[in-house]
Amino acid sequence: MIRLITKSIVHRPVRNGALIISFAFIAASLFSGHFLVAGATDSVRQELSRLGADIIVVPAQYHAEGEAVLLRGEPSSFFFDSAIVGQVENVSGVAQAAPQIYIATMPADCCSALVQLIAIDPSRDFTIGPWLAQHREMPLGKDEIILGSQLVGDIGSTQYYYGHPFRVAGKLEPTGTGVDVSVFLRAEDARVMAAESVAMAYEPIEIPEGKISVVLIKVKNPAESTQVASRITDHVEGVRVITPQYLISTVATQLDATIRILDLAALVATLVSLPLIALISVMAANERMREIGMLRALGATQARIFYLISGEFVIIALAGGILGIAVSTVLLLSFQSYISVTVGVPLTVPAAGSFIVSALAAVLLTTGIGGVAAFFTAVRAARTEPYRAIRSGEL
Amino acid sequence: MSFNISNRSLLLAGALVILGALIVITPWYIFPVCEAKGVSSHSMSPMASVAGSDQSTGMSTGALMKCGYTARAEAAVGALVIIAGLALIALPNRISRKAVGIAGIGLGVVTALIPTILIGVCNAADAPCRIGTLPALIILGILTIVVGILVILVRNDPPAVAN
Repeated sequence: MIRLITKSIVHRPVRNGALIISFAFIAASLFSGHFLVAGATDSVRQELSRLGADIIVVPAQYHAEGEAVLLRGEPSSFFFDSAIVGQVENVSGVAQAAPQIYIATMPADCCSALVQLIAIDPSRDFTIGPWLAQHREMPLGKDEIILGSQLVGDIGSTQYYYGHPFRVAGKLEPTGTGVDVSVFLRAEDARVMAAESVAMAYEPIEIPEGKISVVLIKVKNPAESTQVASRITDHVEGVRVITPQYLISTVATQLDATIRILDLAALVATLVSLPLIALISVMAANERMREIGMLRALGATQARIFYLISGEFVIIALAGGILGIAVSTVLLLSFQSYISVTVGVPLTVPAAGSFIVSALAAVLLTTGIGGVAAFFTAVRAARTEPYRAIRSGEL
Repeated sequence: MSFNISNRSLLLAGALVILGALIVITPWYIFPVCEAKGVSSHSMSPMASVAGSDQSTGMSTGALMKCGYTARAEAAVGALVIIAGLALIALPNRISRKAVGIAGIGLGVVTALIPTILIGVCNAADAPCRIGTLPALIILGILTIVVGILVILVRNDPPAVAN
């Protein structure tokens, strides 16, 4: 029967090609939305896991900038008093507090990267320290830097920031977030760089004495991170906290409009194509009425005729669904950074599990639409008497 | 006037013309390179590379950026792809089909190689030419190769009936 169905599909390449493309569009719209949500959520999780922080404390007035650095890698320089570290450490439930200084570099031209320099305190740091211990087995040395995955530079090469030479000591794995375009260095080297920048750089940078940008917090019990976050807000003045849940909900809100548009496109495509596909299935069945009559006369059961007609559209829908998933996957992977910059959310390739589930769901839904559209035509064709079917094919 | 050309050849010739046009306009209009966005390295300060980031273009100041050269080269390659498509319509015989197919494959390879190896694009991870133009040209190059292969492989069907 499959051979008969395949022959019938191949026999009308233009009509069936157009149907496959419309099913591909429906599947691609459905799949893309889920890819974006899963990719953005996974990206935030990967970043927080890379930073190793349960909570990030930022100056209250620079909350938006802190969020932009973390989510989109939009470089920014902002500071608050380093005494905050001590106050945060005293809050119950806090296990470790690591201060960081954020310094944004200036663009050299449209094609040069805006880089976020993140200065760490090696004695307190738990962001780069464990990674270094795992990959290099020695701490970050004087004038050494670790590059985010998207930054250019070979390990061992020299790079200049604000006129100060640094040696590239390592390169991090991609996360799809701000970490990928960040450069990690020691706080004392950053202060030397800032002091030298007056003479060495075109535009000097100032890191005020006794100031930091953010405090990364590790809590004693990760299950209590929300309570610890609210305790920090209550006990420490002039700060805001960023938690993993908050970042994920921010990303979800930002993606909401895009997902709605994609889902709406899939809905409109379904509503428009469903009656069209049903009409085409009626036409196709009418064209083959004589063949159906002959098959029935030769002993084919009603069920067999039903499967023959509905199977053709299920296979077309299945092919369209697979094509849609394949094309959208290629486009989403190729333009991952472009989508991330345009929509303003971090994006990485979703975990294999959620990727496969989304793809299967989109293909099954598309196949279901094909089956539903051809159902009544298949039932009508199956119920037609052989004699009537043969006569209806006569001119 | 009637060209003795099959529907399949006409379809493939049309695909080559469209792909060629897309290769020409993509770096300037669809996914514009830095230069097309109105900024060139001529505006760069000589001190700029040490002002902040060392993650620069990798080009010396005062010169056209890599992506600008890529856009110009792709315009030439795209024009050749269009000519190959038109040649398939004008000379629809078996030998010219093979020649156009081989040319299509070669031009597709060059389309993908220009922004990746031969010239390249800007180094910056978030440069418009890297996140938009580069993947678009690679995809267009691959599609041109696929159409070139089809031009060689697909057998001629009966000539289209002129109405």
